[in-house]
Amino acid sequence: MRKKIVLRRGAIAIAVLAIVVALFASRWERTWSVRVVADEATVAPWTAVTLHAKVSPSPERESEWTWKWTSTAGVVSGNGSMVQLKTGTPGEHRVHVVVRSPRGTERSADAIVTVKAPEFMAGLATPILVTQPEDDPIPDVVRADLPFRIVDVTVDKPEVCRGERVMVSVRAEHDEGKADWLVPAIAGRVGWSVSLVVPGSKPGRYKIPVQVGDPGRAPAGAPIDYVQTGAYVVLKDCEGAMSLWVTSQQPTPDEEDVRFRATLFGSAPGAPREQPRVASYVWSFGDDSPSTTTTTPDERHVFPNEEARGPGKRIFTFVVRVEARDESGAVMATGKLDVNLRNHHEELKLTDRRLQLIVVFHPEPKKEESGERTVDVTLKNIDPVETANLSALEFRLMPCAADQAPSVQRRSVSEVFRSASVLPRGALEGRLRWSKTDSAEVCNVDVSVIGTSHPSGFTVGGAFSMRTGYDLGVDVVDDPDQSKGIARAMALLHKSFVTQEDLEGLVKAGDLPPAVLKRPTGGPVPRPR
Amino acid sequence: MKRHLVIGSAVGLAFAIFAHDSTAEACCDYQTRQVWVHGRYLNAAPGDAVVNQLTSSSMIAPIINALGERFSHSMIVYDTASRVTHNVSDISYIQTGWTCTHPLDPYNMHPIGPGAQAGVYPDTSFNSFMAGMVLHGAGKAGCWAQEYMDTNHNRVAGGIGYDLQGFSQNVPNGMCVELLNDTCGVPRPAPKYYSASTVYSAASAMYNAVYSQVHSQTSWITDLLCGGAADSAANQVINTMLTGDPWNTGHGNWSVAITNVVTPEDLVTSYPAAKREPASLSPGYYTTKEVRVCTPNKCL
Repeated sequence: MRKKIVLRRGAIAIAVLAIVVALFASRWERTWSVRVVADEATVAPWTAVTLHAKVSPSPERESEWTWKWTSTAGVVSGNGSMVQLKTGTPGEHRVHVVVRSPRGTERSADAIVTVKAPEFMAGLATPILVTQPEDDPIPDVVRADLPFRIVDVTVDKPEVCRGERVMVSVRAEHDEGKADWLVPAIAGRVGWSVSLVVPGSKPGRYKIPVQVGDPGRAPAGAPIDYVQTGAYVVLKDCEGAMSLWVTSQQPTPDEEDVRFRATLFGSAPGAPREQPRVASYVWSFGDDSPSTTTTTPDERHVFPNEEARGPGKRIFTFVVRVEARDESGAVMATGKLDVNLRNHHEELKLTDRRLQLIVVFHPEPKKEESGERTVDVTLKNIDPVETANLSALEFRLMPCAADQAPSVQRRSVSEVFRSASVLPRGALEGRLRWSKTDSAEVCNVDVSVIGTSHPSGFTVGGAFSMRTGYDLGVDVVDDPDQSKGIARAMALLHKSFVTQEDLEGLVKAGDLPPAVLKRPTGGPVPRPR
Repeated sequence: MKRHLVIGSAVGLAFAIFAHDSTAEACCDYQTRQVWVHGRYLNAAPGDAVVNQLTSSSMIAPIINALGERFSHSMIVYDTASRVTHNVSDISYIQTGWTCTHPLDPYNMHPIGPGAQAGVYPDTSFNSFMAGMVLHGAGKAGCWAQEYMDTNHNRVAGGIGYDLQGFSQNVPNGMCVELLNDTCGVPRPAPKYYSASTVYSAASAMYNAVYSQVHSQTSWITDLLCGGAADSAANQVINTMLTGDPWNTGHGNWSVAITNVVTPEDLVTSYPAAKREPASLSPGYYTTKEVRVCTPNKCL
């Protein structure tokens, strides 16, 4: 009996002990520690440093651990045990991590990352080594009084050979949410991303100036408030392997219409020094349009206009990318170029309190049987808020005698349009009429719209025109071949007029000979009056 | 004798008048022909200034951008046909490949001529037919550049030419705004101050652009024979702009402040907002019209 009691008590004790051990085991974790390791202790501004929070011993299920990173520099990207720190602010930056185990234990660790402007080459043809900030010809500009700042600078190739292009990009923030209205400039070229070559030929590290300014803050004529930093690129002592350069040209007054040319340079290391043959060029334009393929190095593209781009941003940057391919389709080289377009209409609203209407009209008037000439006109208001209220039309009658002064008349809106309002994102259609009896001596009727907008009271502007005579500002095409070509172009396109761009398109398609593209010279030079 | 002279003169005059009329009848008639209708600024009257908006393909875009400005050229509308005082300087006027040491012909760079052409229709070169601003009543109607280069780059009249050094110093008729001020009665706006670092940044940007341009036009064989051409050409351009020395192919002191130049941007921003508006453009086009055609050679 007594033995039974002893056994029972022993069993209970063992059970209690087992429960205690189980409870302890469930709460127990191995001792662990954490430290932060940076892949580089000292870096140049805007150079990313990778930071690794190393737990020792290594956790079995890392996904169950949490990591909270903070930095005196402010910017830490990524999450988990490995993150990146990138800042343009020189100095020592403490990075702090708090690690929490699945058991809820927290430990923390720190690392110091030093951001220091490196020695770099300054000067172009005969560069000198800049070792002290005071010798920097393009010093950083930090303005704590300004509500905006640069928050990131990226370089797609931190090290390049001579002649190789590099793409530098900048990002900014504004306390009042106006970052999209700042003006960025990289190496003096306006754009959020800019393609450039390192400004020098001597090997070494070069500083590319990166600037962001706000032209809206300073009064007219005063220098623009800006901040400035640098992107660093190392020029190696080597010649670029095969490289593709892309250049652009604006062939018409329409800045969205851009012509590109790609030029292939160099050859692959060890290959014979002869110009490699490119079978095709594949173009993408960075504007969501489909890519195109050409067999020649030339391409032309029309980017979205301000209406299609939408409001809210001053400068849009599109990065054009071209691949040169050989006959097997293999990529020989890739080139990039930035195209930067401004929202001029929106800018006018901000700077000049002006609501500028887009005016669409046919340059050649229709001639009715009565002899009356007509031009159909559409006024487009791309603003999302303002309504354009038209109060009058100003007719400027331009005489056929070049030295006579034009006469100016103010006429009713109803002479051309049925309504006097153009709603936000709306359009208004009308028809301008002109009979010879109005005045035979007039060669051009230029019409400007006059009005104000609602609700902001901006000045409304826009203009259209009708050519009523051909005695002024017209050159007769003397070359019979060119004349035939133009007549054929009008027949092919079923148009009563053709532009230089129409002709170029037909020449490219092989429908017209290149000789048709000869441009008029501009007529005689006028004598001084 | 005197009487004979008078009679003779009268006969001669009558003959001249008759001959002129018969010449006109014989040489000119109306024909249906293909014509080029020149581009026009629709809201600019003679005497108004037109200031061109900078385009990314403009040769001086890097400098203008680096100075934080938006406009590249200014001119006055000459007459009702929308002809203008002068075109932008035609960079092709500068001969390339002069020598290996001086890839750009220094004789073409200093002076460069005031605009490539004067009294031209704005669409004869698209360079001067870009969007921009009209400044109503800024200058004198009928004003034109006193000296100019014709379409074959021949100097047509003497006088003071465009001077690339006008980018850094106040040279008479040096650049477009100075020309409008000195010749066409446009008030000179107050000059802005450009710090040494701003100028250096602009010079670097321009260097980069010229270097790229020359590099993209030279083949490896040119580079082999004429090494460093892109670098020398870029230096020539910057040195001409800053010191007026197109012979200098090295790197000079480009960290200099600029205090007394005026730019198209200054012209626009100093002009009253109520008297400026965006330029409305009607680009040129070909069409078929019945026009009066005169053939002078057949009149002889």
